[in-house]
Amino acid sequence: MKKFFSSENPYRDLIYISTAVIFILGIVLYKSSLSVSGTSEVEISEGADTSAVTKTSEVANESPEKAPEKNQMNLQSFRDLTVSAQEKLPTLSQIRKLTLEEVHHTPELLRTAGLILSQVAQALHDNENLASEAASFYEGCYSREDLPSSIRGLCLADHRNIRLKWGDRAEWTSHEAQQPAEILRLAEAIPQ
Amino acid sequence: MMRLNSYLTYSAFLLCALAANFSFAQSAGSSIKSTTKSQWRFKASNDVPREQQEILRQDIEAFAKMPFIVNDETFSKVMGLEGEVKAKDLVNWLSLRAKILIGESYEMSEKDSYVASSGYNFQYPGILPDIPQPPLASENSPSVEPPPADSENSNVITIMSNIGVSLYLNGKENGVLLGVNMPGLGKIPVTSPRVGILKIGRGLFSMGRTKNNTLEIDSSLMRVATLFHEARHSDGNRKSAGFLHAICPAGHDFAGYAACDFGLNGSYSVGFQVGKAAAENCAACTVAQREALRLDYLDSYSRVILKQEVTAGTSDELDTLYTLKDNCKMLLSYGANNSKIVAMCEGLDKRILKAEAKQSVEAKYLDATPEGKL
Repeated sequence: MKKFFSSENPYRDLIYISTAVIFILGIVLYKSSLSVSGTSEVEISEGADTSAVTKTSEVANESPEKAPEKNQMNLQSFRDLTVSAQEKLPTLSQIRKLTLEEVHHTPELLRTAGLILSQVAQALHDNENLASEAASFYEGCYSREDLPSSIRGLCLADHRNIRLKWGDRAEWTSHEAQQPAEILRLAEAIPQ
Repeated sequence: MMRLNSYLTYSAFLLCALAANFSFAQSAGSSIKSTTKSQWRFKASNDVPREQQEILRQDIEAFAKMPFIVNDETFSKVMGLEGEVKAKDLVNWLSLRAKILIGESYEMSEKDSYVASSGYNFQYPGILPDIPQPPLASENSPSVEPPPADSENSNVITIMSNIGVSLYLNGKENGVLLGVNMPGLGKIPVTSPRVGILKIGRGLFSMGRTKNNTLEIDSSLMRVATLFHEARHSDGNRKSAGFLHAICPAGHDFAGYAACDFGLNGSYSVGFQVGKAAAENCAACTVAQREALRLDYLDSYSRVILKQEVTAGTSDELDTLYTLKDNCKMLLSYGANNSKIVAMCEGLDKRILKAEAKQSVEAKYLDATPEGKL
């Protein structure tokens, strides 16, 4: 330490001093860049706090404020998915054309329906802003008398679970409760 | 030589695959193959491809490692187990009921089956499950359309069926002990449904969508639930032997098909309970996979009929009464005037009305104690 600023080699002192200055400047610049990015994060979350969250739960399908994150489905894509899903779900008339051997275990038609419904469920899980649209889809699904009971039961349970997640405590709404007893029995087998 | 075809009354209610016309290349070697790594120890005839055996072994191994504990009274009653049930307990349950696998090229014919003994002393002789009858029509659904017939030319792919119980019951009905010629395993007489012979086919593995050679967990768990469903058919005695499926009632999605259970612990209940336990405790499952599994187990649950309308008299009693009535008509038309005959014929209508009266019956737990000798 004693020789640190010695004059034995003035060039060496100069190197030390300039290195120290550069190091200090670097720290200052780094800290300022952190504070800039931190400010921007706060601004976004504040905006979300005051308006976006409220909109998310009530009218998310009209104008979601937050852009979808990576792997999240946007509203339009989700709408397309649910329209397609309603069209592709197998109907009772299709089921009744199957042979005994085909229906002994879960028929391929129902397994395909499982894949269709699983896409909807996953999209909703990944982007909760789709809850309102998903609830509409599930209501449309469980109300369809041309669909197999197992599909309607699952849609009814999914509809109930969306409600429960957003704070509704009713076991069944009046519309849900109007479904046939068999559909309700199946839906009750799905955990809340 | 005894004809096997005349012994197959019970096949349709256990769904022995009638329409599968696929053949597999023989697996190399003909020695008995028995797994030792998993708790589920099964033998496989050498017409079961090795890759199929390996997939099933992996399915059960993965299932056995699932850390769930089911503590549910209904679950225990359905499975016939007591207290808390772990996945390993369920694998042990499976091991008692599903022991031998045979490939889908198996057919219940003289080539693949044989008469092991023509004077066999069956347990509970003469007592057999009733052949399921179509349930009565209800006011909302007046008739049950018969399902499309299985066609020999159809492209239906076998998933799985319990051929052991089918052979046992058909043999018992006819007083002969039937057996199976198992490629690589030799002749196996079916002295009890608990011999546990399951026929497996490609349909079981079409569930197995693979990604980068990794088994999808949802497909794996669907196969597991299917195995448990078939394993339940190895249970039961006398009227409950084989846990035969009931014909789904009018108004049901599968009305007219023998694809329901009118009992609370039948194959569909077992498939539902095991499928649900696996799906809801599957930590490795994505939301999408769990959703697919949920639809799968709900389908099984939808086949469990809790209540149905039946006639006060059995179908045998009604048939007898109808025959008697026909005979009465004939006798009376020939001028019979014996007072006893006239009185009997007059009383028939009342007896028929009484026997035809509908009554609502609730499903019960059936006796799952196995029948036969091992």
